[in-house]
Amino acid sequence: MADAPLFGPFSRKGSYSKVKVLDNFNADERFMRLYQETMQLPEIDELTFYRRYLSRDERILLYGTFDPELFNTLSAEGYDLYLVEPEASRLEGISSRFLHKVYALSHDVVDAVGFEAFDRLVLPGTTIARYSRGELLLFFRNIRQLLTVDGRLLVNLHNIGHLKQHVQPIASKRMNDCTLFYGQKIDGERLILNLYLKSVADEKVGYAVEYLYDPSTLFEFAKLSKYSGQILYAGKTVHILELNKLA
Amino acid sequence: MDKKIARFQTMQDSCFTFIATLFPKETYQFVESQTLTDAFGQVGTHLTFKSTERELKFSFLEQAHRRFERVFLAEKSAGTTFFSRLLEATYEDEQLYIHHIVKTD
Repeated sequence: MADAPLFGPFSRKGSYSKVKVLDNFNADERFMRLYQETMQLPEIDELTFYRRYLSRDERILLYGTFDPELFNTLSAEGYDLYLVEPEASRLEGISSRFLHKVYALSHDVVDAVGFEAFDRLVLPGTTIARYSRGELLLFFRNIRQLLTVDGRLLVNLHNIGHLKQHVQPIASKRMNDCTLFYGQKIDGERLILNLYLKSVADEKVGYAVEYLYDPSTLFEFAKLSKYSGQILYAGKTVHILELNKLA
Repeated sequence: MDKKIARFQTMQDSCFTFIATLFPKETYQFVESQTLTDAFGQVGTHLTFKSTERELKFSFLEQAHRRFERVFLAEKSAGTTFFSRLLEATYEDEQLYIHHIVKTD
């Protein structure tokens, strides 16, 4: 796959005909789990944070890789959470009590609850970083139909300075019946993750691309679609930003 | 283009068979199909069917593994504004299979 953003040893592996190159790492559950682990933001205790930030009087929509246990816990505590998760494999662990609040497409949520129904939209982890600049402009425009008149969007950004100093060029992890290798590289304004595994049954490489934004850039983009924003938390590894929909 | 049309036709036929099993006493007509990109950038295919009692909407979403598509079925009774989710299914080898029934509170 000539266009796949593979580097170093991952690129070499990807050039062999017997090695399958996945253009979507979610196609392999091991890659998916490894991605979730490597992209975690350990600086934030999510449960404590969401308990402080969210209100039980509000209707909240989550989009992105949200920990199923966290979803169950907060839902059981009375938070009115809805989740849009396109990949069924990422829903393992969601309690059957709350599956009726889980959707795959935003259109289906709107069919069920109407337009402008959510007080808050939360993108966990660095979900926002999956969008390129062009996609981000569309995203900010499109989610307006989901948020109430004064709805708010919560996103997290990597602290770029810290990330540049702590990028992992190569590491490995044992998972089930195989060893996975992964590496990170900063290429301009992108963080590229490469993954490789070899098991008895298969040999694959995969990749994920995240776009690096600093808070001021994100605020500028959001402003174009009528949002104002503020930094809720400026940490060592992550910034938490809140964006308010304007009329 | 022929492939797309053939795919839609097969999906539609599968939906009709599925509906006939769930609602054997009702007669449904196909209303429309749409392929839409949602607010988050995901592409879904939606097929709508109608009887005198209700409207049914199937939403198909491809999965990264490509082994099957994820399908949601929702209904809207005559006179109501919003859809209620009925079940989640999978679409595999041109056949719909129930995955789980959606239970509300």
